[in-house]
Amino acid sequence: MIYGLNESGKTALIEALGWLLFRRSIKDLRYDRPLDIEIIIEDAGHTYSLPAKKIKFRLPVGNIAGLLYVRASESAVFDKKSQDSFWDSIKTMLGRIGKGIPFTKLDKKIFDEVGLQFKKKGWNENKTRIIQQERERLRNLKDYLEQIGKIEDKEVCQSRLKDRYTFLKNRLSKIEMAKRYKNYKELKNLYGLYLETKSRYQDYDRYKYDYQTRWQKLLIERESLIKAEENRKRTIEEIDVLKQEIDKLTEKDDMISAQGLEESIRTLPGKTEGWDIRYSGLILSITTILFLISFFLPIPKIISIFLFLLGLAQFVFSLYQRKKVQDIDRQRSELLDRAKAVFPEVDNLDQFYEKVRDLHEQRMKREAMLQEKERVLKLFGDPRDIDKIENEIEELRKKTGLAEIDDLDEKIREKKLLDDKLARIKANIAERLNEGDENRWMRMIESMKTEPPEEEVDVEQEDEVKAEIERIGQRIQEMERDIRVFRAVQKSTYNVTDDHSAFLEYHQLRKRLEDYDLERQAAIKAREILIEMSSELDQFIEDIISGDEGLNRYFHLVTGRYDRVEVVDKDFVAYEKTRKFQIKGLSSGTRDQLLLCFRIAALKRLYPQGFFLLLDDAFIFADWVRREKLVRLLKDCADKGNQIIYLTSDNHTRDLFRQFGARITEL
Amino acid sequence: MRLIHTADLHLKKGEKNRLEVLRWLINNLERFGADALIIAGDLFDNDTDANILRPEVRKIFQNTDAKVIIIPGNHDQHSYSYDYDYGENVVQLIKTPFESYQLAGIKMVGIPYQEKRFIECIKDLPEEIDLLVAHGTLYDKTFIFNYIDDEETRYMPVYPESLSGLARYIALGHIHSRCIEKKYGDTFVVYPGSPSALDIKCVGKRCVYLVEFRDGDLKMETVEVEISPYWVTREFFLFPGAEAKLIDEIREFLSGIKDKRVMVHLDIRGFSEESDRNLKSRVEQLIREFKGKFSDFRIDTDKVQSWSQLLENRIVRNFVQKTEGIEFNLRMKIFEITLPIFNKLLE
Repeated sequence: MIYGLNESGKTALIEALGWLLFRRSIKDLRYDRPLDIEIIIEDAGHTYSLPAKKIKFRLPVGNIAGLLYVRASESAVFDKKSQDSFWDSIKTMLGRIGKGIPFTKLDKKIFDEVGLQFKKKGWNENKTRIIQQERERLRNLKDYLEQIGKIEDKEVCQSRLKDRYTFLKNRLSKIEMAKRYKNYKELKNLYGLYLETKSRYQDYDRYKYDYQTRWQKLLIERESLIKAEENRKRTIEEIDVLKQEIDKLTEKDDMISAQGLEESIRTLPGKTEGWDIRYSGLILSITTILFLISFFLPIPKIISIFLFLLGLAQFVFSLYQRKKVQDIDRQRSELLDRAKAVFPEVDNLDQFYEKVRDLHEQRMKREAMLQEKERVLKLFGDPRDIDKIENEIEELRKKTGLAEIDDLDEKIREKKLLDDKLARIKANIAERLNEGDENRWMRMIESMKTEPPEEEVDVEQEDEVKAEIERIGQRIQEMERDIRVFRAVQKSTYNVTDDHSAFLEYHQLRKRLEDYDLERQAAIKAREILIEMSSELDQFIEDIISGDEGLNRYFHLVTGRYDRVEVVDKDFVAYEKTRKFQIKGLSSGTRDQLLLCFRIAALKRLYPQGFFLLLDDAFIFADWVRREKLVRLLKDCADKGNQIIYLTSDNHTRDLFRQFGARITEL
Repeated sequence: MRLIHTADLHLKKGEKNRLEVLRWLINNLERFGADALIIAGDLFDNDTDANILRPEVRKIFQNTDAKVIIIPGNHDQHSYSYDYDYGENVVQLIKTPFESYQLAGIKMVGIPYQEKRFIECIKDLPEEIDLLVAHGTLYDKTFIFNYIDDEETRYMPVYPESLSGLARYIALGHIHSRCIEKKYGDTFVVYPGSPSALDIKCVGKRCVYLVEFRDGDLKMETVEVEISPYWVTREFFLFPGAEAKLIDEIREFLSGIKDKRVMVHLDIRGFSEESDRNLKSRVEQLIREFKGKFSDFRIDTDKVQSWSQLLENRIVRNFVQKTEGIEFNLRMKIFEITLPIFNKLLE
């Protein structure tokens, strides 16, 4: 017990103790920083002195410390301002590790620290964004690392292909050089051949195609003339024969004419048979019989007479006719005899007549033929033209130096061959030089002059080499494009400065992302533990209130009125039998006593090995009866190894403490 | 034709063990029936050491009739020249971008380390190479991430895609820590690792590769460098309150190691409820206890966070106790997140 009148320094003393023991802030002190103070603490055989540079043991701080220190007229055990209920306040106070938030709310801080949403246990917006960014970066880096080796390989391949490309290009260049040389050589040779052929061709100049044509024509003409002469002669002979034949025919004709045979024959009636006398006699007989019968038979006489007369007349006419035919036959026989003199071979006049007609026809025919032959004869040329032709042929012989046209034909054939050859060579050169003017050829070929290749190359491989160059070129371009694109995105997309950094960053990112999962699990697990601890704290507080040596007992001992205290809706309710009193409904003195009882009950559980308690006139509002009970309670605590320091200016309180054996220090 | 493939000896003045390893290799070539020793770069730790050690190295090389074929690495890039005498049996493949050499019908090509891209060095390589020797970092995603933090991996990146079909056997150098064997197509690609334990990353028995070319066949096997100490490294996780248990675990682990060549490196990480001083005292005691047993013994506690004051808080302590039984990676992460927050509240 420290006793002193007002302004004797009690508050300064208790502030100094609180400052040194509980590290209270100077700004909370009424009298500024305490000077010249020393606290000696004995604990488990060790003695500690405060202040000390290094504190070798830990004193309670924060709200727990508040339990150990009660300022005058301020017995509240918690900060009223920040708490909703007594229960929450007590829990906060007991759960507070230091000056910060209580552990019951620590899980929120842990979740914040890790970046988790408190309720959903998922990552919060900021962390989600970070993780997404890091995952995206990891993907990019993975992509980069997967590609870099392939790109490096491509670069090697590309480099090798480039070497191959250069080699093939050189080879192609050599092939082209060789081809140019070959072309030059060929053209040069061709041109030489052209000149040679041309020279040879000039030797054939005298063998003109006209000569050949003319010669041939002359020969044909000569042949024709010879044939015509032969024909003429033959025609003359034929004319002579014809004339003789005509003469013979004319002679016969003259004979016929002279004898008038022809006229006689023409006028001679034609040979007729005449009516057969037997039939006429028969008809006459019949008509005569009929006539005779008519006399014996009923036949009209007129008709029988008429028929008899008719029969008779016809018989007479038949006799006349028979006489006439006999005359003609005789004339004919005479004529036939005369005709046989001309044509002994004829047997009858008809033959003769035929012969005469034939004779006329023969004569007319031969005369026509004679006329034709005479006309043809007139058409044959002059036999003297052959000489002219011969002369012309001779002239051609002189011009060509060849005796026969066959020789000329041979020469012309040779010339034609040469001509063809020359034409082919010219066409070849013109095509290869793309120039038709042969006068420019020599100069052009000379301008193409190329040195012979140093080494032999197979120009046949040109297409193969070109195809390979094209193929490799395309491949190089593809690789170039891939590599260029990759290198471009290396900076832009991947933002990679060098491969080692990429590998390192990838490794660190992967570990970090794996660590996030572990962090999340750890935070969730920590929360589970803290919830479990919170539940245990509820039990602990409940035990402070209703357990042995708890608030209920102490409060009943001090007040003698209230049976028990309960926490309803997180606030104290004191019961007097069936009546209940909210803590707000209690007098300030009773409330202070309730809180002091709670404080002692809590300290006993918090510090079962012993505690100390600083009380600055804590009983000031208690009546004398309750004061005594409170001092008794404190005496009981002190007797159990705890230390109570009570400061007062009240004589009655001092005497009470003295009565209970407290050590009194008067200021 | 048999040859030994090694690399990264990093010979250095004052590091006699490394020189001894070279001597051992040379002296044992005959035992392995090897016709040549291939050193795929970084024979020396730097060019100055090369100048200092060249006479001694020459003397060692003269102990064998076998050919010694060397290419420069990034550490000894300028340590070779035709003017430098390494002995008559030594072939320096130093021409850039590459130099060819034929030995007993085996066509080999050396690509000395150079500050240009690997693909630029190989573009004009001849075909049908039996053995390609190079010094660079193989960016194979199956293992490179284990080493990518090391700045050394910046040197001469080599991509697997570039290696397939390049040669029958590609003898690489640059990665020290352990041997790595890969096959791309028909091409074997091998890092033998350093035959000496250069640093604590050189974990496991040190070895070289014995490669045999026979009638188109290729056989290879690792040969242990019997005289080389090697590192055994182990990571331990510490959780608050489990300090004594951890020390017991470590003790049990160390007791199980029988090979005297072993150098032990223990990496302890986690969270301690003891003060740094207390933990250090425990570790020192452990080191004293086992020091004589190993040729080197290191315990690294730099990654242990001591939260002794924080863990005096009953709530924090309660929280820590409630994490017991949780899978240790998750538990580590819980502490990693919550302890700084708790501590901030107590400041």
